[in-house]
Amino acid sequence: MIGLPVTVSIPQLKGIRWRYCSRWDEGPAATLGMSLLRLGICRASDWSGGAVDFVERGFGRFCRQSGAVEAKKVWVGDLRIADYLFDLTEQERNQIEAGREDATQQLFLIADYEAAASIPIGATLAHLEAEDELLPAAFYHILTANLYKCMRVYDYLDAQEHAEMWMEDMSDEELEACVYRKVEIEIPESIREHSKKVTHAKARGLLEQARPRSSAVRQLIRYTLEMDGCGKGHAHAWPGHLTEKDVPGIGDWLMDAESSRPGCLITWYEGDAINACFDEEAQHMGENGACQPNVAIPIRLNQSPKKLDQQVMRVFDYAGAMLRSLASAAKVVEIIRELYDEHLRKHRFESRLPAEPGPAGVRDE
Amino acid sequence: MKQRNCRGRSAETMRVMGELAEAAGNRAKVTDPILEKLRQCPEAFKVGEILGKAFDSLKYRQEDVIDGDRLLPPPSTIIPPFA
Repeated sequence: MIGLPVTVSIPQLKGIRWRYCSRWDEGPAATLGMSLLRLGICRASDWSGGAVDFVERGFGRFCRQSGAVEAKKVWVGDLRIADYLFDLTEQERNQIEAGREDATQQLFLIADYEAAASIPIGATLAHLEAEDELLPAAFYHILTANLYKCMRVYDYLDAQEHAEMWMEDMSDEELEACVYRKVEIEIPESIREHSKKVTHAKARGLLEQARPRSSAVRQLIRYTLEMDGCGKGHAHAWPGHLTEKDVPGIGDWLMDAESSRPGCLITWYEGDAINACFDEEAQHMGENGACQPNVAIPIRLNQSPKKLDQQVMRVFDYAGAMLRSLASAAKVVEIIRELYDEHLRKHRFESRLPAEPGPAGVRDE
Repeated sequence: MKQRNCRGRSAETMRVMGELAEAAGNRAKVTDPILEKLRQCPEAFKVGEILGKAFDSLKYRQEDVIDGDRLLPPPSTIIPPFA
């Protein structure tokens, strides 16, 4: 089908770059660009006359090579280099920059998520339990521990906290009727029973030693171990780690800011009590202040080239590990969604319940 | 031949490094006329904002438009914001 032509037309600007950066953007980007060129992340051929474009090309290529395309199949968010921790309007930015004598001497690597990826994990845990009773807890531990390294994860623990807060002042009748009670009831025995006993080393060992019969479970374990390997040696660089030395005034800003938006929502099944708690919380996210980014790592520009290169290398190591880990996690989530959809189809066929397969997509907040 | 290519790449890298160093030191000459005008008159960003709002209002009122009517200039037309 061919639609009607739109009545609004955009003037075609020939010979002019698509984006212009003010003089404030070019200085810091140029300092970072020199470091990226020395480190081989940017190439001379990336130069188009603008430092911001130069950095963007090198950074874009680095992200693609580290698995950004695979990661994007599941995770909805962005990884960017910015000169501010939080979003500013053009007017606010101009006001701040106009009052500053020198260009900023600091940039940040920032990761944020626009939507929480839906991970209905219940059916997968049942498959794992059929292989070994400890496998569900081990798998859950390794998966969430690695996701936590690059995002806020919303799971049954968050839902429990939310539910407890709301149940405090409820009467017995209200408690009986509310969804919050179900958060505790719906926790699978395989998690309730074993999750506290499983350490990271033990969980990894269990996954490594497992010899599952099901090919889906084999793949699941393979990609989970791959993810764990990528994240090894890295911790979650959330804004709370920043000090006043890193960013003056960070303490006040963190006090006023809200928690990060979750990058994923782990439910037992779609529409369960965890999902209900998440929906309630998501409605009010960002109402009382800006949400903190999920990841924020400062890059101090005013140091010797050698020290700057070392710092940039560390930051890009983190970014690369994060993207590779998210790419492996995306494969894990795709298998989890397939197992969930398969469970729904089977359930519908056997019980004639009008269960619809999940969208296997992302859940908008 | 190979050596000359290596030298060529290195010279190119040095040239880009020099350009970046100039930009980092804010010594780069602003030769772009649009950038220069924006530098002299930051308020001109307002023109972009106003145009953006005008585009949005037209975009959401398309059902009112009579077929064939063109509300904005045709492609390739530049609206000079500094006229």
